[in-house]
Amino acid sequence: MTRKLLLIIALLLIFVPLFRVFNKYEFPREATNKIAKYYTANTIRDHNIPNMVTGVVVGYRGFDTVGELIVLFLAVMGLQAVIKTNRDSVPRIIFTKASPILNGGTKIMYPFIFLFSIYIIIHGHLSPGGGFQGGAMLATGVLLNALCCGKQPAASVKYAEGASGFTVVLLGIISVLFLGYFMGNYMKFGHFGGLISGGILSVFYILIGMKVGTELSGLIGSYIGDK
Amino acid sequence: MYFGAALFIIMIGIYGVATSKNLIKAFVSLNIMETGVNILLIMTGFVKGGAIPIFSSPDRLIKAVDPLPQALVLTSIVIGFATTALGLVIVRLFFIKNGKYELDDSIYHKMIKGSLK
Repeated sequence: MTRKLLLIIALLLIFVPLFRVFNKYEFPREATNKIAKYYTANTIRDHNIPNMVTGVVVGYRGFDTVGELIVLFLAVMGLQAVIKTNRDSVPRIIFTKASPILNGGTKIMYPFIFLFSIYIIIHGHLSPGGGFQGGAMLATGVLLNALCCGKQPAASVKYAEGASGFTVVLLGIISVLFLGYFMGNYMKFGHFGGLISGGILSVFYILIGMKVGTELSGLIGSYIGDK
Repeated sequence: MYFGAALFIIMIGIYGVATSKNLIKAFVSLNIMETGVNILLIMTGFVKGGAIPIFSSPDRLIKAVDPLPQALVLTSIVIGFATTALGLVIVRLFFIKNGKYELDDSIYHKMIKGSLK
């Protein structure tokens, strides 16, 4: 009890002065950052898409995004290594019948979750959202199905994952031949604001969405186990 | 005011990490702390009266907030998810070896003797 009180006092001693310093900060009237100004002025010229955040994530900082995919892949790989090396000692999860609320709700919501996640993935360059968010949503559908009926994703998801990840890196390397840098926008097709626009950038984001969705589905599958 | 909210969430997270012996609770507290840090990062790009960084037409420039912190926070959320998943699996391994989720004195003595493998 005393330790908790002392901890609270110490935290307050750190955070109250910090808050007083931060609180003096006035939000600027316009973006003062040079990079922000550049992105605002040039997203349409460089990538022909309305969503600036997608322009930054996949276009200007595509290399970062590939690194992010690698970190996600490494984490999932480590996780599966831990599970598979302890296969004998890990107790199996035995599914009993789920409650009617979960069962019925999943059966009604399942197609809509999938539809909405695909919508989010393919509209990544037009509206808020994109590959990572849509992929996470796809995995939510898979998780619900696993919780209600004990179904696990098909074993072939790992091939889809490998293929989409490989294609992202391959298309990124092809960009080096055309433009001289990794993951550039070397094919610009479509008109501004249409579903097919933004050129190779939207293709990148759809592939990233596939990769993230299948990767997280495989993760759920490895948590559930074989039986 | 907004900074106060973000700092308060970080504070709750630190308190949870420092006081909970249950490892799953510690990871959840770490996630709460991360949410606070993400709010703080998003706020650095805020502009007074700024719109969301999405254009509605190609020839009208808008006064938008800074898109860069938002893109970076997207990365940070994904990394946070990955580390949480890995951490939870390691907690599960800990449970298999020791039969409990709590870090208490018996675990400490095992660590001292070097028998925790």
